[in-house]
Amino acid sequence: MQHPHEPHIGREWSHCTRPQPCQTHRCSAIIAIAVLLSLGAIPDLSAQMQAAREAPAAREALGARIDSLAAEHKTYIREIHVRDSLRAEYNARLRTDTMLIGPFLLVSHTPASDDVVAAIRDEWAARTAMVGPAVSRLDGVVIGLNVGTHVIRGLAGTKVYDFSVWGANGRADYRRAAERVITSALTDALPEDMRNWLDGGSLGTRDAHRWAYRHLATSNLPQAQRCFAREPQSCAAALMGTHASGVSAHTRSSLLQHALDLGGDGSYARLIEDASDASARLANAAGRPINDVVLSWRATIQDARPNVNASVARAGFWTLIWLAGLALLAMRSTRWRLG
Amino acid sequence: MTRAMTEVLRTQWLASRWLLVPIVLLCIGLPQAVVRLATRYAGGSLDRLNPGMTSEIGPPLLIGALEGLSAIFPFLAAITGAAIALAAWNWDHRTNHVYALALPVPRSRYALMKLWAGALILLVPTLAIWIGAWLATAGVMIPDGLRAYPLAFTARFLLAALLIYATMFALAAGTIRTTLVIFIGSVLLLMVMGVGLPLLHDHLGVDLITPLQTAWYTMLGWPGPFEVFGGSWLLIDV
Amino acid sequence: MSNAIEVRGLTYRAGRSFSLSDVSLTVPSGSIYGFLGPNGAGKTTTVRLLLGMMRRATGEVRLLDHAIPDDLPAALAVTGYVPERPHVYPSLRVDEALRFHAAFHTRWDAVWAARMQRTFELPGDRRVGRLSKGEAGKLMMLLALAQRPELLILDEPTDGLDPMVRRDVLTALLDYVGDTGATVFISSHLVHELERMCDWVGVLDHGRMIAEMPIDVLKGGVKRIRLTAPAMHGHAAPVELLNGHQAPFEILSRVNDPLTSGESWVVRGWTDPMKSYFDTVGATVRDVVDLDLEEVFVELLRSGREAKS
Repeated sequence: MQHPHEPHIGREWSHCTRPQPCQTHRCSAIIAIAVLLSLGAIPDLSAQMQAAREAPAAREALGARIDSLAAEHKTYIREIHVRDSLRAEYNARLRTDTMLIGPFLLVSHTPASDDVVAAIRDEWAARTAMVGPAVSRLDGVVIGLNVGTHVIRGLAGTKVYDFSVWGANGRADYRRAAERVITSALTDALPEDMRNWLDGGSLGTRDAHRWAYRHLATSNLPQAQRCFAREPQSCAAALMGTHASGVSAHTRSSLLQHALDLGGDGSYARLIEDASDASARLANAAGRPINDVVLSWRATIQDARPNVNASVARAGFWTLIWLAGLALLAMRSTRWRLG
Repeated sequence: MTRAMTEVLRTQWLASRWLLVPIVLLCIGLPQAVVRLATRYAGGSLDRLNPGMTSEIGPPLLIGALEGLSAIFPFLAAITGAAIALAAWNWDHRTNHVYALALPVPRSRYALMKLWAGALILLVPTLAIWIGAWLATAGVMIPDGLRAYPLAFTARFLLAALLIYATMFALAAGTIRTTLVIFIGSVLLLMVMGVGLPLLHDHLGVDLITPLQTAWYTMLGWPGPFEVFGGSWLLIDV
Repeated sequence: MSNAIEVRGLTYRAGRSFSLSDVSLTVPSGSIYGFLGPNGAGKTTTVRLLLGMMRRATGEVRLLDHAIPDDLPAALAVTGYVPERPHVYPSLRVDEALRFHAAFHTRWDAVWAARMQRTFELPGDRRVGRLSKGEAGKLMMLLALAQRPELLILDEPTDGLDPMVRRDVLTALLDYVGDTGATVFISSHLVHELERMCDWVGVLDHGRMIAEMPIDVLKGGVKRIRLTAPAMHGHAAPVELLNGHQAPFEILSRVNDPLTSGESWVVRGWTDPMKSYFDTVGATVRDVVDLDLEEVFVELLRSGREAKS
């Protein structure tokens, strides 16, 4: 059996009304892994128990540790149950295609197109190193592939991230949708204080810096204007404050993405490590002081100004090509019009 | 330019000049109206000549208002292009094309001369929109961080109008039967897409929606022919 | 180049009601060719097929040695065309129409055009659509002639014009032909008009050519013959002995003549020595009358339709 975090386990296309054998095996295996993890902590626990007998403080620490392990164990078990019941229920309900891509369970009522699968796989692959060991926080994430009038609904206790192909225009839009789904899942997996700081924003997408530029450039609040136009040093205060500081969620998303980009491999995992506040988390993720992160972010933002003229030029190039085609069509104007 | 081309241009100008009057007025007036309305909505004064009235315009509000109001410009470009195209063939259609067919030029060259003449005539509303855009943006205090794009706006208008012009021209260059076939075919296709394909998908599991949708969005997105309509039509932007 | 227009086996079909069948005609260079036919015979369709405005089903058309429609622009550059109805853009003013037309014709004679505009009294600032029928007719002829064509294709050019205008237009045409020796192909149902100017005639009826020959031959060869025949009283008429196979001429029509108790024949291919032929069957030729073109035209149509039915 493959490990669920590998990029692709395989496709199951069934009308089954009961869980597949492989699911039962996976369930057992995951329980075994959880037990082994718990057992792995036993020698350490023995030493701590000895110490606890000797000191009340150590006893308290040991108690806390046991509680945390028990809680962790419960979480594992719950996730295993959720995942297995999900797959069983999806398979039982309709013709259902389920597929594991990285940590994500892709569910659809029709076989997922290769382009969709490739988009999710590629977007995940681009973030695998950044997420690093924190990948476990994504276990049980379901991506619902909604085609036509069929909608994948979430089951009790799960959240389905909608990957709708309505309005999608080929591979570029599939990539964009996949990016949105994955960054949403990664955002939801952030600690609460970080989510609060993001103020409704999410992990940055590839357009994050451009949006941040637009928001800063059009902000009418003094702190944001100072940061954008005149005083780079004021950016840190503006960004790390509350939403009242005039910095939009898009701007925070952009800063977060920048910190993760600076930090490289494992930066997401370092982001969610224990830390005092958002600025400390960002510094951890980036691996450098927060002021450095903000200053380099500001430089990046200034370079991300949307180029209106370039977009017109590109549109112009293609328009001229189409015009040439239409001119050829017009030249075929028939002379057989009478009679 | 050959004498024949000059005469075709002159004839087409005569055929379209009265249509151009309202279009030119709209091209000059609409950018100013849009910018004035947007700045008023954004809470600022726009009159540089009256500094006492000037206050800081809320940039997000300004951009938001411009985004809403600027939706009118693609329509203006489309109407302009379509009007010039229909005017280009109008006189030929009225005389059953007999005169044009008796001229000693190949039909393709004649059509090309007409296409080119119409494209040149489109420069008139384009000039008007540039004047309108320039007047509109020169008359307001643009907040820090924002810029005026009268030229880019004008270029987008010209490209969009040219595209609709060439499309309508190519359609009108065909026979009435061809035009009717294309029109009725389009209506039927829309009906099939709207009603037939979802039924087919839901009841038989045949997915024709996705490829057709892809084709539709390809028309509107890169590198489709109508991509130019999808970009920013803002006169003032970041 | 001996023939200005050559048409072989031209076929065209428009719906069920109308078709041109196997039309062949030859217009010698320098001739004035009258293309006769009743309304609806297919004259305008033939003209449009000659000019490559319609797609033929089968057949071959050559104008001034140019294959149609492959070599159409070259042919149209030396061909003047006057359509049945004014075809110039009606919103143009007369001066603008002249300028537009001139731009496409390298042989345009601006001086001649200006002179003719004065002669025809065409107001330069009036829109073509607002010209009277006579003025429009003059303008069409002016446009066709000022481009100095080698071939003129005229489709009912004087139809509906008053006699004064008709004379002006035809005079301009004949002057031009006299000066240049251009070929004229003129389609009309106004037979009297063609009789005075044409040297060749082709007759079209119901989409078929029923006659094509020099007008002298046509008129000279078609006669009305009045016969008396003694044997008609109770015996076999001598005319019954004369059938198309035996007679050296073609009988187009035959009617009883109650005044003379004889018969009146219209025959084609008549020559005076043929009188002796009647002697051999006991009939007497009382007189031989020349027909005008209109009568010939009517007789041709009648015989053609009778033969068809």
